[in-house]
This record gives sequence, structure tokens and C-alpha cells, in this order.
Amino acid sequence: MNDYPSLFRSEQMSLVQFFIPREVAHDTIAELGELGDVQFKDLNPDVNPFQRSFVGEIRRIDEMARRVRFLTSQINKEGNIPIRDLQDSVPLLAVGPSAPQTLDELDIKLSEHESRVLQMNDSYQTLSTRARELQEARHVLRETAQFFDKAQAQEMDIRRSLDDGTQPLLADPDVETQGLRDFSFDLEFVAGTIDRRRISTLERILWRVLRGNLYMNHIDIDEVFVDPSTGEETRKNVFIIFAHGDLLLSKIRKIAESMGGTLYPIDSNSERRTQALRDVTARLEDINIVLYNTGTTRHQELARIAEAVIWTTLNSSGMTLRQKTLLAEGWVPTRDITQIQLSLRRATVTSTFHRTNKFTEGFQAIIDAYGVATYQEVNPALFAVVTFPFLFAVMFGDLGHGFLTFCVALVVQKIHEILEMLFYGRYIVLAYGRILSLYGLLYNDLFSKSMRLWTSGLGVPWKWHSYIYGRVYPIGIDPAWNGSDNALIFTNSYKMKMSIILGVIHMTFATCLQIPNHIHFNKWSNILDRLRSSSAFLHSILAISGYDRATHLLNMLIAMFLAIIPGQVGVQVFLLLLAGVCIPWMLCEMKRVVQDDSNGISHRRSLDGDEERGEAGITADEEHEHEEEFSEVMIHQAIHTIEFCLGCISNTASYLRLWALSLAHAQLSEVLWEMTLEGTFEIGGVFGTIFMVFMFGMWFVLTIFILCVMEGLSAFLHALRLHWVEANGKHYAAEGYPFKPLSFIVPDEDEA
Amino acid sequence: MEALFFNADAGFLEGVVRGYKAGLLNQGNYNNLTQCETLEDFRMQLSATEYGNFLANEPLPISTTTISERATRLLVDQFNYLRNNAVAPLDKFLEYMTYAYMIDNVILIITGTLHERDTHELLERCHPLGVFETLPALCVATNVEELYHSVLVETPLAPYFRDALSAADLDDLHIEIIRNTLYKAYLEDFSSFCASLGSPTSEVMDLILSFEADRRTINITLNSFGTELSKDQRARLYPTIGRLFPAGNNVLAKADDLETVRQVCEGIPEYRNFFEVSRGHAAGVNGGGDFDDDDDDPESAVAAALEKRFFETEVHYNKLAFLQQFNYGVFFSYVKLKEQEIRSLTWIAECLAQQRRERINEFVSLW
Repeated sequence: MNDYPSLFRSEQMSLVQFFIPREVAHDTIAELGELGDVQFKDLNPDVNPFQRSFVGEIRRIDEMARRVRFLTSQINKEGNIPIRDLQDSVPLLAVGPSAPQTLDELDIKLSEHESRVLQMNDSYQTLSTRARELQEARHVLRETAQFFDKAQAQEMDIRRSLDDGTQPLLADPDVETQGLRDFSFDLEFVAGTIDRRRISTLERILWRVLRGNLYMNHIDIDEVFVDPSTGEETRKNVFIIFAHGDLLLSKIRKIAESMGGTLYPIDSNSERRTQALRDVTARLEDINIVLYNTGTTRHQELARIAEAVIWTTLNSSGMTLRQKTLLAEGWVPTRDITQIQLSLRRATVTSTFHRTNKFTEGFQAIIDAYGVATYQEVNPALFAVVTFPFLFAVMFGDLGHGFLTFCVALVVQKIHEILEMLFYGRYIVLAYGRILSLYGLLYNDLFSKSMRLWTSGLGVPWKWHSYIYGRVYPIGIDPAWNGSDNALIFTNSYKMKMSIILGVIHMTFATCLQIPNHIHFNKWSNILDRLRSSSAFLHSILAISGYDRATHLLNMLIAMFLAIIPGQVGVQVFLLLLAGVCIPWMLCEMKRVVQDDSNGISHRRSLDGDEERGEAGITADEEHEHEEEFSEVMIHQAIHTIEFCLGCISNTASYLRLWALSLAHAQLSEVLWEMTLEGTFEIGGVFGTIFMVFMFGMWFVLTIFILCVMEGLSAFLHALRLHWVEANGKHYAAEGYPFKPLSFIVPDEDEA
Repeated sequence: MEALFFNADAGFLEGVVRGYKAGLLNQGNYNNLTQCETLEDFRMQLSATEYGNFLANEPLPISTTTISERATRLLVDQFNYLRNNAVAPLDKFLEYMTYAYMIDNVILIITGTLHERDTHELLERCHPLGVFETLPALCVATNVEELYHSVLVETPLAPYFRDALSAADLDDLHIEIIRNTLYKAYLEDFSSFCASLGSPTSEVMDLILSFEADRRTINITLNSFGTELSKDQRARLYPTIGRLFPAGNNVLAKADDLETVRQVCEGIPEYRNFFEVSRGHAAGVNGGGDFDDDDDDPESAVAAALEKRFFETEVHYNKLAFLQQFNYGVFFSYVKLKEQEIRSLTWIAECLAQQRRERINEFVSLW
């Protein structure tokens, strides 16, 4: 129809088939992906993913990605190794004749790095474990030495307190050392280190195993041990257990070891202990030197790898994408093989693509949330750009609130998650703000107060006699209504009628949108039949409503069917009859249309059958099939008709929400004004001022949160419903699926 | 009434567990898995399922043990999540579930120590759900009494041990007896606990636990043929719950051959087909991935088929639990089903690793 992209219809799509030689498939797809304008179809949906032709490569890239992940995690753990930014490094040549080669090189390089890092990790780990053991041994030595020294010093006290041997053994550390009174140390003991969390368990078990005869002492080690491989911190305790007899000792050893403790041979002789301590310290120093060296080489190696990792991470974005590419490749070449016919038939459902800009994006999203347009269907989003803020404003109209909304739309930034959503819809909000202000003017509402821009057409010169000057207020509602006793009655009826009129216009418009659809899809008969009957029904009902000038529309709608309004019975009965006739008419027309449709289909199908040298039997089968289909369609249409008839009434009534919400909004803002600010004007003096400032703050905050945000959301919801149900239901099929082109531009690329 | 407040306490967790259950592999997934050629294919297939990329960071080549370990890890994580969020009495229920694993672990450690295996190696092989703090200390015990007094007295298993204390020494037969005594006590205790929870839970769990008890009874009977276990001792090992109890158990206590066991099972419609061995196709079992090829003699063929039937019936009963709402049985059943799934996965992986594709379909699929 037109070449210029418009929002009225989705863009025209072409089905293209690529015949790509296998060798250049990858490059081609990569190029297309850069372009981001082609959506690939899976032509072999029945084939298992691992039976596709490019699995091998994908798997290799998976493996490479794993290696990159491993190296990156190692580098991160080491810390303070700068990874060069992706942008700085030379991009790896993923396209072109040398691509497979570079891929191979990368693979080899990665695996080399990985094995080297693994090796170094290993040696580093063994070394640090040994170092840790030595450290622990030193601690054990030191602590036990202290312990023995203390015991020695306490010897005298113990001697004296020997009589108290009946005390519980475990409770008092002094008593524990009882066994040491003999300084030849013939009492044997086990010493070692254990995780602090387990010390109580160990103690409990040992106590039970040794039947309560437990001499155990343990001291916290202040130093924190870090596991080299996991980086976990553990706190340990030195323990020393005294026992007698080989059997018991071996049992203790076994338990302690199985609980994750490490035992160290400690001599009871103090000289030998100091000797051992010196030994251990010396060895520890040695190991520390070696460890340091290994650490630095490892650090260097990692830093070097960091270089390599950059240009692989650079590609890890490209890589994940390349996986997709390769998958897509799997489909494209198969096009060569699969029959063209098959692919054509599958391609008959075309994806829908609306080119949007930042303004229309939000409205399109609203419509897409209801359903994606069928290919080349009239897109309601275009009209929603106008009608959506408009209906919203009808419910919300207030100049002040409109101005606030407008300002918010102008300044909103992407700061918070919620604000981000607002930011996405900032143009919608902007449109709201504008139309709200307009409607505020029409309603003559400014934070529930009216403005006297012109002289009022109504005057109340004396208290009990109102006087009509015979002038009409130029724009909107006369300010004289504000605050008057019958203001509510007036605005009520005014807004109610307005909402019905708006509703009828909106629905008529939506119904008429079928026309361009029918024209576009060459279903001329539909226009005449479906549209004529449905709109006739719709309007005959509505005409009755419009005919009456009574204030109370709702009552009138009820009265219409009961025909209790005198003088208009004739016209109304006619209209009512017309409406009554319309129902079977609609039903029949639909039936006929469907029949036409199905005949057309069968005709087309039999043509297909001829082409495929189909037997005559098929046609017979199809006939049968059609009859079944037809009856089903009949029922479907009957339901549809009834739904439409009921819908006409209920939908019209549904537009009354415009009235209800705008009324509620106006009342709420008025109440808010009365409850907060109004009273403060009467109080004078300093206190009055302070009180007024306070009340103003309260009023302002409540205005923002209750009137603008909360009410705004509810009005939004109702506008949404009016668009989705009342308007879209009239014409919008929404049976399409969105266009998802293959694109390398990943919106957010930070994987964990 | 129990439905009224169920959701206040356990509604969230029930939702979670039903979500977990929805993630169990279905027949389509299994079809895909069995068509794999290598373990890499296998991994790729699994990455499209609920398992996600749980193997993504494992270096190639992957071993089947890694697969089953990782999968069990997932299950354990899920279970711990449930358990950490549970309130009474669901937490107690979940705790009861871990007792079975504790019993297994205790027996594993004792047996291992008896055969002088390395304790740390044994600890690694323990099921993570049944690990308790003092478990490693079991390796020092040389007789049951010591076992009880030094370690188990403070674990929840202590009351179950009271009956097992009579066993004098620790040898293979006695360990078996201890295991079965413990299990019997555990099942009875769990069953009475479930009964105290009230209607839907007790009904659902009764079905599952009864089957479990019957399965143990039948297994004990079959395994005791030709051993020195006296009939008297045997009768004492039978759980006093289940659908075979009491009449069936009495007959089984005196049984001497397979035929008697078969006759007893005839009495329960659901158990009737346990012993039907279709000749011609030697039904295999999916035990924990062991390849015993001695299907030649009929006895073991029956045993193998029986084992598979048991697994299938267990799956069936556990699936039934999900048909009812407001019961704790779903938690139990989910864990059992997931375990079965892990067994099946391991079996498939094992078949792939050992190039035994002809037996790949002998797993028990869930749906």
C-alpha cells in the first residue's frame, strides 16, 4: 500500500530463502546478525537439538566458554589484576575466511592456559597446605609448651589440693592438670588442631568413649586459616588430651582424625619440644619463601592470562551469540533440502513488525500486551496515541494535577527500578499531562477550585435568587457552579452524558476500523454484512438512548425497554424492533459469510489436491470435514452474535466508568482541599501561619500520592480496559506473533 | 478443618514443592536423553531441562559419579531450602525423612569400618541428607553397645537402637539385622507420627509407608533364605505396619521358599504382579547402576524383576500423593521421585559411558 513505514499497519514482510553454501554460512549469518533485521525460522522443529548439524561446534564453544569462565574466576579470586576493557582490545576476527582458524587457535590457547593454571593451582595448594600444617604445628607446640609450663608452676597448689580429688573431673582446669603431678610425664597424650565448631562435639564424644575420664584442654588459635582452594576461612583450636593405655590413645586418635582434626606428635620433654618448635619454624620459613615464589609466578601467569582472557571475554559476548548463530545456521542450510512447498506453507503465518519510535513505543507496548496484531492488520496503537490519554484525561481532568504530571514527565530520569518503568512510559505521561490540563480547563478545575478567567454567566446577586445573565461561559464549566448546592447534580448529569457520547464515538470508530481491514484483506462482502448489521444494532440501541433528554441516563436506558416514557413510544418501538431484527440478521449474515469462506477454502484446497495429483477420495473426505467444521462455526457465530448484542449494552454501560471516575476524582480532590488547607485560612497569627505551612505540606504530599499516583494508576487501568475490551474487541483480531530478528546487540550483557 | 489453616503454615512450601515436581523430567526428556551418543550430548540435553547448567563448570570428560553427585546436590539444596523454611509440624516431618538416610549412613560407616576402609572416604560416600555431627566418630565402635553409648545416644536414632542392642558382635549378618531393626523401628515411629498429623497426611503417608514396610518384609524374607538367620529372629525384623501385617507377616515368618512369598503377595491386588516374570525378556533392574549379568538362573531373574517392580510401585504410590492437597506427603514423595529420577539419570549416563546402549531403556521413568 505504502512504502513509508507507518504505525497504521505492521510493516510488509517478505519471506526470503537463503541458499547458502555451508562454508560461508557462518559468515553470512554473522553479517545478518550484525544487521539485526532477519528472523530465522526453525525449519526442522522435530529434530533434536543434538542431531542438528552444527552441534559439534556449539559444544566446542561451550567448552571454550567454560574455560574462559574458569580463568576469569581465577583472576577475580586473585584480585587486583586489571582486565583490559573489551573495547580496547583488538576484536577477534570471527568472520571471514580465517575464522575457523582463529577459533582453533583460541581453543588451543585457552586449553593451554587452563592446564597451566590448574597445575600451578595444584602446586600452590599443596604448598600452602603444607605451610598451614606447619603453622598449626607451631601453634600446637607453643600452646602445649605454655600449658606444660603452667602445669609445672601449679604443681605446688595441686599437691595441696589433692584431697579434693572427688571433684568432677571435667569442670575445673586446675583439676584437669592433676594427672601431671608426676613430672616424669609417663602419662601419654594426644595433641592437635581441630575446627572450632567441632570442638564441643569432640569433647562430648570423647567424654562418652572414655566413660567420663576425660582430661582435655583446648585453646583458641587467634589466627584465621584460609583454605587456598576455596578461600574459606576456618578458625581452629589446639587441643590436648591425656589418656592412659594404647587402646584408648588409638581410639582417641581415630576419633579426632575422623572428626577432621589434625594430630601432631609432641614430645613431653620440654627441651625436645623447643627443639621441634625451632625446627618447625625454620621449615615454615622455607616453605613460606617457596610459597611466595610460587604465588608470584602464579600471579604473573594469571596476569598474563588476563590479557588473553580479555580478548576471549570480548568474544564471550560474541561467543554466546555465535552459539545462536550456529544454531540458526542449522536451519538455514536445511532450507536447501526441505521442500520449498513445505517451507512456504509454514511461512504463511508472518510475524508482525511495527516500527516504533520512543514516542509510540509505549502505546505500542500497551496494545501488544493485549495481543500482537495479525500481520498487516490495522494497528490500534496508532489511535491509542490519541484516545488513550484522552480517555484518561476524561477521568482525571484537573489543571493542577495535569501540570504536575506534565512536569514529572519532563524531569523523570532512570534512577530506580520503578522510575525506570515510568521513564519507559514518559511520553505517555507527557501526553497525559497535556490533555489533563486541557480537560482541567474544560472542567474548570484547579486542585478542585475553579478559575474565574471570564465573567461568569450565572450570578447569585441575592442570597436566594439566582439570576441567569444570558451569557454563556466561553470555555468549560461556569465557575459559578463550584461550591453551589446543586453542583453535583449538574456535573453528574453532564459527565454521564459526555461519557456515553464519548463511548459511542469510540466504539463506532472501533467498529469502523474493521473496514480498512476488510478492504486490505479483500473481504468486501464482510463490510456490507457484518458491519451493516452490527452497527445497525449498536446504533439503534444508542439512538434510543440519545433520543431522550432526561437527566438520568441510566433510568432512561431501563425505561427504554419498559417503554414508560410517554410520547416517544412510537419512535422507540420502531428502534427497538429494528434492534430486534438486527440480531437474527447478524446471525444469518455471519452464517452466509462463513459459508462463502469455507467454500472458497475447499475450492482452493481441491486445486492444491490437483497439483499434488491427489485422489478423488480426498475431496469427499474434505466435504465431510467441512460439514463438521461448518456446524462448529455456526455455534461459534451464534455465541459471537449473542456476545455482541449483550456487549453493546454492557460496553456502553462500561463507558460510564469515565463519569464515575472523573466524579470520584473531583470529589476526592475537593475533600482533600477541605480537610487540609481550607480550614487554615481562618486561623490568623504566627500559629496560623505555621499550621498553614504544615497543612500545605500535607496537602501537597497527599495530592501527589493519592490524587496523582494512586488515582492516576486507577484511571490508567480503566483507560486500558476501555481500549482492550471495549474498543479492541470490536475489530482487533490480534492473532499475530512478534518479529524477533536475530541480532547481536544484547541489551544487557553482564552474566554472573 | 485441617485445610483451613494448612496454607498459613505450609502453603508456601507446598507451592514450592509442587513447582519442583513440575520440573521433574518427563517421558519426552527421557526419550531425548536415551538418544544421546555421548555424555556431552547428555549434558546438553539436560541443560534444556530443569537441571539447567548444573554441569556447565565441570571439565570434560564428565564421569557418571559427578553427574549423580551434582544432581543429588541439587536435591539436597532443595530439601534444605524446604527444611529451613518449614514450621512445626512440617519441620518434624522433614526431620523424620532424614532419619532414613541417617540409618543408611550409620550402617555404611559401620560396615566400612568393619572392612577397614578409610573413614574419610566413607564419609564422602554418605548421603548428605543423613549426615550428623557425630557421624565420623562411629568408626571407633567395635560392638553395638559401645556404638550406642558413645555416639548414637544423642542422635534421634537412639530410641530405635534399643531393640538392636541385643546383637552381640559386629559382623555382616548382625549389621544387616541392626539395619533392619532400625528400619523397622523407624517405619513404625514415622507411621505413628504421620497418624498423629491427621487425615490427609496420614492417609497419603500410610499408603506409602505401608508399601515401604511390605517391601522390606518381602526383601528380608527373600534374603534370609539359606542364611543362618532363624525364623524367630526373622519374624522380629518385620515392621508391624503395612498391608501384609499381621496375617501375611505370620505366613512369611514361616516361609521357606519363594512360592510361599508369592502366595502371600497374591492376597493384595496391587502386589499380585510382583512375581510374574515374563519369560523371554529378562527384566533388568535399575539399581544404583550396577551391571550384574547373572540373569541366567530364575531366582535372580525374579529378584531383579521384583526390584524393578518395587521401584515402579513406589513411584506409583508417590505420584498418588500429589493428587491430594493439604498434605505433607508431597514433600516425602517429591524427594523419593527425585531420587528415582537421579537413579534413572545415573543409569542412562552409565549406559552411555560403558557403551551398553541396548540396556539404556531399563530405567524407571516417572511419567
